[in-house]
Amino acid sequence: MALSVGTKMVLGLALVGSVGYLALSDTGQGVLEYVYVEQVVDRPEDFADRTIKVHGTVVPGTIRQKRGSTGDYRFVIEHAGKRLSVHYTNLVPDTFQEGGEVILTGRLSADGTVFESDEMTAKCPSKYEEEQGVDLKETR
Amino acid sequence: MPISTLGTLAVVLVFLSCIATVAFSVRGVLLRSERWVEAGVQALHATFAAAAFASALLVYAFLVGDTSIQYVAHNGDPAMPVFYKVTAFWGSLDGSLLFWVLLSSLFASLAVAANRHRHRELIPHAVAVLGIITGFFAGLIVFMKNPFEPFLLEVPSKGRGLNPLLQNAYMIVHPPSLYLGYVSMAVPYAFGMAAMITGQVDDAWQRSVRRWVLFSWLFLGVGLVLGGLWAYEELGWGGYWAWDPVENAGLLPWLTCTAFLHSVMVQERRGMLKVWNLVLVIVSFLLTIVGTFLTRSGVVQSVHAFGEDPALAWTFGAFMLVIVVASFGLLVRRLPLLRSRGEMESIVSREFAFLVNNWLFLSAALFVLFATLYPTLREWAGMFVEWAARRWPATFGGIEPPTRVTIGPPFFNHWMRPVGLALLFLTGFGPLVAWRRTTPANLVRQFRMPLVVGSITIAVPAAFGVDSPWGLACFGLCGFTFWTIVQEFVRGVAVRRRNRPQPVWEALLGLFVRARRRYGGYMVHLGVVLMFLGFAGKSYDLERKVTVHPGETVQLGKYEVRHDGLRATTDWQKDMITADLTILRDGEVVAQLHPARWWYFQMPEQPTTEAARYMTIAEDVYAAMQDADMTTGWTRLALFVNPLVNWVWIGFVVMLIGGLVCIGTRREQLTDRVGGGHRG
Repeated sequence: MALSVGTKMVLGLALVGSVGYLALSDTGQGVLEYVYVEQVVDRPEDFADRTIKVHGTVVPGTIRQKRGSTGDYRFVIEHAGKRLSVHYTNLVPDTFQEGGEVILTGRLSADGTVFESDEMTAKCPSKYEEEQGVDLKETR
Repeated sequence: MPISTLGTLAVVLVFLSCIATVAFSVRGVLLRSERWVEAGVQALHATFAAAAFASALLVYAFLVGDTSIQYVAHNGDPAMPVFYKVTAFWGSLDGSLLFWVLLSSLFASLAVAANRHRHRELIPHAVAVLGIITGFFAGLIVFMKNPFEPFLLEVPSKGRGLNPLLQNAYMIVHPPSLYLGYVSMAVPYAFGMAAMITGQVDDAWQRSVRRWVLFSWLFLGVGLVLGGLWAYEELGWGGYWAWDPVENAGLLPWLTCTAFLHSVMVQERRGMLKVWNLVLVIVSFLLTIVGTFLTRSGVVQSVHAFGEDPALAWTFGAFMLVIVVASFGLLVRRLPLLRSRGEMESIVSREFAFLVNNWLFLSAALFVLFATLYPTLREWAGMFVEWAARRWPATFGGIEPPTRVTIGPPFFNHWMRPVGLALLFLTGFGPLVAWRRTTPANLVRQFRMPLVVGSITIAVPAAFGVDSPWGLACFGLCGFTFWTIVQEFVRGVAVRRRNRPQPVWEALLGLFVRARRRYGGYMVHLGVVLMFLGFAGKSYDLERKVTVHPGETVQLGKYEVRHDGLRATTDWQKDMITADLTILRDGEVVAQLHPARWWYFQMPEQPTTEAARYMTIAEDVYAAMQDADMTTGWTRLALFVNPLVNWVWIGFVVMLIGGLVCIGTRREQLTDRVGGGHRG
């Protein structure tokens, strides 16, 4: 005797139901839009009020760090000639440095001029060889 | 002759030997000639000999510091300890490909030598498939990534050395362990293909490969867990798993291997799921190639990726396409031979539990694969739209290319948590239901106590203030499953003692000796339960980021952390700043922690974080120093309380022991059923 049609239907419904529930309860947290500095600078209104990831290079000489606080940094990142000020409030990864590539998670300030971030992935410019560096290290 | 020339000759020899292996075997099959088949087998052994010679040469080059070889110059450092010099062999792309070839030819030789008298008709086909796989990687070395490539002009005097982050005991074992897992999947795949080519798709091929799948599964597990331990101790973010693409790449074949190890039992007992088993072997093998590809091509950016290399990516892509087309093409052709002998009779049956287990494992693997590749696929789609808009502005000009996205841990956790819990439930449920069908009375008898225990393990943490529903569900299922396993052992022991009076320990030992696979399997399940206990602890962990000066104290849950001072020291490799912390609980000193930051002289721009932790069976107090200033003494710390985290490692060790018990199963014991009779 094989499984009855009724049983199969109940199983199918349970499957569809649970997948549907998971899909509906997914807040989209964890799936983030990933853009370069110039996209944000050119059209800040597109990115108002939501969390995004921004990719750029830390402009040398711009890192300012508030003494005595827990990771309160200000620096400027650039990409394709456009620059964006960043206010970063968290611990920085070991690989964070001037001239290094970073991917910041956060949102744009209300006036669209400062990117408020508290999560960073910093690319290391050298792992084994200068030209082969794609080493990421994350803080959370 | 310089090492670089000799080494290059050796890798060319490996490649030629692979071609000979395939050619001789195919000729042997076509001519039905035992002598050619035997020549193919010998060529396979010769491949291993050549690969071993090439690998020994590369290790030797590192030991003597032959910096005229680019690979050695970039990855070696005369100041490194000897074992890091040896492991530098597989530390980077070119050498790791040679390591692939070494392992793959070794496993191929072993598998063929072990099975040559048993499955004579499968051998030439399996040998040819193994020759093709090894030859692909040998070809990559010869034509694209030769680790013996010398410098053409000037020779640098000193190597740059291995990244200090990777100079860690776990890192010596983690990559080769994953590699052993990846590469050993080629053997089951080759025998599966041989079975389909010859049409001998009965259970014989599986008997040759089950142990190989178990072997692969064990080493993938070891690699994954060591990678987690490394991340936990070395990266200083207080966690061990972040759904990083390369972590995922190791997890994927582990999931499908686990599925195979279960479903193969259904085929053995009921003659069902034959197609399914072949699919799982093919998919597992594909996923090991995908894993190697993800790690080595830089297609998906991650902690470990070695760099972007489009030519390598295309070559891998083409190879995978060939595997997919050949494998599934053959499978479709052989479908008529793979008809199931048995039928599903009830959903409350062992078969059905196994089937659901398989669906969950496979869908988890495919889901993780898709989510890992999704950002890359989307990027490719974007590139395509932009290209199309340039090519045909009239048609595609107005279309916005899709933006790039990233997928982070919250997304994976959201989808994988319920799958994990469902699998944990099946871990307890599956082994207790009967084959074919189970009566309601039997169900009640089997699950009364586990349900009671499960309820208790929900109530107790809830009383202690755990409020995460996922955490509570996980605790409950841990209790439920734990008791089902205890019950099985108790019953087994009771049956043995009834048959012949003996002490409890002797009966327990007897279970493992007489029915290794079954009780080894329960032990693996026990390890799973303990690991999930560790995952459950994650639901109420604690994290604080603080800045403190010496003499100050901060509160961390029920602990107090006192900053006693900073020390700056130097050894022959690095500068170090160490913070001395005292952990107090209710005013009593419980531990001294010394988190540090190290600046290696060879890479001063990239300091490493040396986390420190106070380990107990209940929880870890974990401290990482982010930054410190020697003049003012201010220190930035990341502090964590990680409940039950050590159960992840303990559980894994239990799992490993269980796996080793299973792998030692002798052939004649495979169908042994001791302690049976108590089940309907």
